Amino acid sequence: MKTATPPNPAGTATRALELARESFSLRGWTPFDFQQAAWTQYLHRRSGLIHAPTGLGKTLAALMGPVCELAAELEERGDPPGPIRRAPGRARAPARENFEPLRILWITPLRALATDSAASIAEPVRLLAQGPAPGAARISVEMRTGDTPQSLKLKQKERLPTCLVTTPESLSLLLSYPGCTQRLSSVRCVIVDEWHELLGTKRGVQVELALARLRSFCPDLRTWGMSATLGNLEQAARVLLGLGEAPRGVLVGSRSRKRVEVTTLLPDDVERFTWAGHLGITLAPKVLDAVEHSGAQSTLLFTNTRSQAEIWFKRFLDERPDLLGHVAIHHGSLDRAIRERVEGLLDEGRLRCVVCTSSLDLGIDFRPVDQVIQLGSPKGVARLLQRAGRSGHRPGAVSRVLGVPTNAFELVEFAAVREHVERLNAAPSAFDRGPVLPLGSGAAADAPSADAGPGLIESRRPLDRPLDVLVQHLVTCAAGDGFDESGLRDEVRSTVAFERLSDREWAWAMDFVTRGGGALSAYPQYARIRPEPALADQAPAPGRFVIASDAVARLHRLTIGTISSSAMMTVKYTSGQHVGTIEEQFISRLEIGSRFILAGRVLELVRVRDMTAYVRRAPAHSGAIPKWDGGRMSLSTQLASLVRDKLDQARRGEYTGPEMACARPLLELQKRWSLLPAPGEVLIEHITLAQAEQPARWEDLAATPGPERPAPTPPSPADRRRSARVRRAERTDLGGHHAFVYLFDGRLVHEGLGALLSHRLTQRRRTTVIATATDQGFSLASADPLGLDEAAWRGLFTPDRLLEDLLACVNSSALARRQFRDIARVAGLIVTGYPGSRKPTRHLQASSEMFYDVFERFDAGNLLLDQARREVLDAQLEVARIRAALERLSGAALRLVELRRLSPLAFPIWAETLRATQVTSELWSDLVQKMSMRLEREAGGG
Amino acid sequence: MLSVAHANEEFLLLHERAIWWERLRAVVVADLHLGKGDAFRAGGVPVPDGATHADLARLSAVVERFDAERLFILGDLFHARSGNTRATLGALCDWRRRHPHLHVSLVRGNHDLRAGDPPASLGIELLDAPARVDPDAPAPGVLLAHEPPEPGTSDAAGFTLCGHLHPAVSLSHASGLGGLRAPCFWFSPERAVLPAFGSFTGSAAIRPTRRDRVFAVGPDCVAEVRPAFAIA
Repeated sequence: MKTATPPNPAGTATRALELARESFSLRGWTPFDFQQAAWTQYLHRRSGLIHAPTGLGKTLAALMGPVCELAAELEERGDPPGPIRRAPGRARAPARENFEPLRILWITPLRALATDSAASIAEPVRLLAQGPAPGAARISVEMRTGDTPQSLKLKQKERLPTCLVTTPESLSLLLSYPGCTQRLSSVRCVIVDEWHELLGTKRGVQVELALARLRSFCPDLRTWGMSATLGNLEQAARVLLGLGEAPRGVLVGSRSRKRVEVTTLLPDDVERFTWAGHLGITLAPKVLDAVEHSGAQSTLLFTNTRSQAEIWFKRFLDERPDLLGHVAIHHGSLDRAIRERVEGLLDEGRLRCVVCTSSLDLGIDFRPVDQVIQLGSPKGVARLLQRAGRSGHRPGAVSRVLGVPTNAFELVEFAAVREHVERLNAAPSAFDRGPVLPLGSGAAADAPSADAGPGLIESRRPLDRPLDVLVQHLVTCAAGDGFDESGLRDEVRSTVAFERLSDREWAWAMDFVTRGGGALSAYPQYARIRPEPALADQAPAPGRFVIASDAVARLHRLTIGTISSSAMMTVKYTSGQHVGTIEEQFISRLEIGSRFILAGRVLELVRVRDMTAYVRRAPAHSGAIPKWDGGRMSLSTQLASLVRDKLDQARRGEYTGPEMACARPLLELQKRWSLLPAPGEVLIEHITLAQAEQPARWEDLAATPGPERPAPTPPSPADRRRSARVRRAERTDLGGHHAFVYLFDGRLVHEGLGALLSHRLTQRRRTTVIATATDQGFSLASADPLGLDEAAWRGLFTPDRLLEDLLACVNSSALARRQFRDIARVAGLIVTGYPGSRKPTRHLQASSEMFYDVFERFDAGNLLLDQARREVLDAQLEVARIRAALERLSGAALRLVELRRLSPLAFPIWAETLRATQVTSELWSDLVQKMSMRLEREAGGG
Repeated sequence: MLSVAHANEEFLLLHERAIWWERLRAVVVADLHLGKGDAFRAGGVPVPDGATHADLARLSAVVERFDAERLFILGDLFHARSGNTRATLGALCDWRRRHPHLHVSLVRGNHDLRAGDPPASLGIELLDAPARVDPDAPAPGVLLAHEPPEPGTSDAAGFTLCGHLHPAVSLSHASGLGGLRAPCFWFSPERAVLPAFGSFTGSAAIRPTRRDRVFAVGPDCVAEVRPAFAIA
């Protein structure tokens, strides 16, 4: 290290604190308690996690400690603040040696945030330098992300800036170059922004491992993070700080909270309102009205999926072409330039409305908007609060959210979430007694949500031992300065993610990168890392490993950045101009000449080359809306239980609040045709549908009974098109026997239960069962009678053999193979080139499915396969929640109802069945034969 | 097995992803991609060993079951030059010794051009596409190629057997079969595309037209699927 510990640490700390306060008062600000607390804690050499509502100045809370410490040190060292030398030959740029070496690493989860973060760091540093601490002029702030120009990267290779803003991937990349130990050893402080976004993801684990590595050669390192509202803040802090530092760590938070007010946009006529969730586009005029006439100057319209954002954006412009230029769209698939332009316009207050996805949830700084609209189910309390925080940024201001239900059930969800938020507004805060909670003191554990009572807000579960990330990390460390096996093992085990890593797993991971597989499987000619070879007259250090070759290192660096992105394709105009990115799978289903919508434009696919889809503008008004993966979030446990409460109230005839009043006719109809389950009851509905009986739309159904119902108004052209589509789909689908089970436990749990039950059913007899899940429940459908009485249902619901059965259905379905996509990429199996670069690697490209098959056949003991299954069980199927649901089921009274027609609750699930996946015990050939016979019959008939 | 009459010929489609052409007593396969795992390992991607051996064993089984006299390989025998390791070539030599009297012909494919021809000692006849192997065949005659002829550009001089595409058919949810995807034989009036024989090969979903016939390959059977419904 270049500088020794400052001569008088206590003096430095006092001076640093002074500087921080002074810089605030120069701007006419008074620091909040939590900001001062964070500075003090940092200056006392502690690490921690900062939690405060958006807009309260989290950035300055985390930043001013390390920056002012550095400024105070520079002052003490007596460095003349005098003239800074210019770089030779460059008139304006000061030479890089003028600046302090790397001290602060700022990690941001999104590349798009980096520019913003760099700006919001550079500003206070500049003010410090101009004001109380001229020495701060020696603090440089730069970014390093995938977007950083090559010229700057080269300069950074010589010397890194004092404060580096980077992403998890770029940090790993820094660790993969020889000499990294020396270049990074001067780091004092790592600050991770938006830690809640990384927690529970593989990128988060990537950060955990990189931090463990940094701590091994920066002994003085302090780790700070910033997080939005989470149900498990203390755990989040432990994961960030690692096992070594966590016992001394702190949570710093603000007592002041923003009030959030939720109102719900009610449809005029609930009969005209489908349960099946056609994106609620019929509400578009009302939403437009709220955008234009509510008195709000600016609106963020949050959707749950990118597809939904595209649909609504297009609808707005179709309806009101004059809004062009005042309404914009923003989501993760759009080109960065487009996104930045929108963010800029938004910040300048020049947009009336931005239709966006979670891409604007994150901490991009822009002026708070007047109004936030949440389109469709909020899916979780924390999420809604985060989005709400986008309005009324100022401390003490009220955040307002307008909820727009896109199907009738979401009325119930909004009712539940609104009442809950009202309770939260009144709940005490964990920081009421002071801004600092020591980790492990029990004080924080008593109030894990820190912001409300325990369990009132969703948690993010940290990942447990993702071996693919470990494999990647091993190669990264080898490609850097090499590693010592036992040292690295201890380091890895100091992370929460790998706390429980067994010796066997470690040995396997080492084998996998040195020899390919376990000792018994054959991977000739293969090695990614190898023991350090002996130098001319020196014996090799035992247990030290280095990268196998420069070529392997180069290949590996290409894969480091791929943790986050699923296979994405660049979309460009034929002229070369970027439009955005889109999932490869979507493009692969399109033919040349097909049309699709991106960034609100109708595009025609011209050709596909080298992971780039070339398009041109198409005149047509219609096009396929891309479906992006991951859009279908599940209802959180918290919200699910709130929804069950609301339904129980409805059962008792209590309809409080406008949303429930609006949903009342449909819930009453449910009670008439079937029932609403009481607590401790589970409703199961059966129905046998002949093809002709299947209703195309809820309205057709609703129109039949009861003379009191007014005649439905004629359907709009869009409705007619839609119902034609449903009818078409229905012709190709089985009629058959359906059972609907309602647990109101979220789609993920229902998916798992559906898969489990259909597996168990098909174990008992040879039949094909299609399982479908929504947030409300799941259905089992079969061409053959299901024949399930109460005893049979109880048998299906047994928690015995749960894991075995789940594993069996994971294996028989495509689930594990699908999960393997991600793992194969992270573990470096899938070699992608830089888009557009020449492809020396073309003959090394293979799909993850191929890897899965070849491993399963020739190396069945490969732990990555295990990991795929485990990830499916834990993350996709959420075994713990499934077990809890089964236990609840086994204690519940089953209410079996034979339906004469689809009930209001059944209809949306039935509609979803049209997109069903299925599990079968029939032999493949039987299935294909049976299907082809059926298809031929239909082909003959039609 | 499933018999298809096409272009005045009779082809037996095998679930081993090969065709038995009785009149010439020939087995026809495409896209073996031998040594692909070796090429990956050499490039630093961990792939277990075994596919090359397993594929050659499967090929032997087909040849022996029909007591075949000829074998036509429609291109991409090898995957890449870096995959032609001693192990790969050794496995191929062993296989050749097991069938010394089999007349083997290889129509060079795009991968072969880069990977190089098999050693002359193996006695494999090398052909350039389109190859007419049986001048006495009934009209229109059969041509062998690696890449399918561009539609409309073929000189109508024959019916082409080819590979290259690694065709697969998705039997999607429209038929109630969620996400099932199978390699397939894809017959059009002017050509038939064989599924890739190699087990470490990918596949590409095809978009058949109404005049096409598609035969999906299962673990132990071949079944015809109706193309109009085979796509979502």
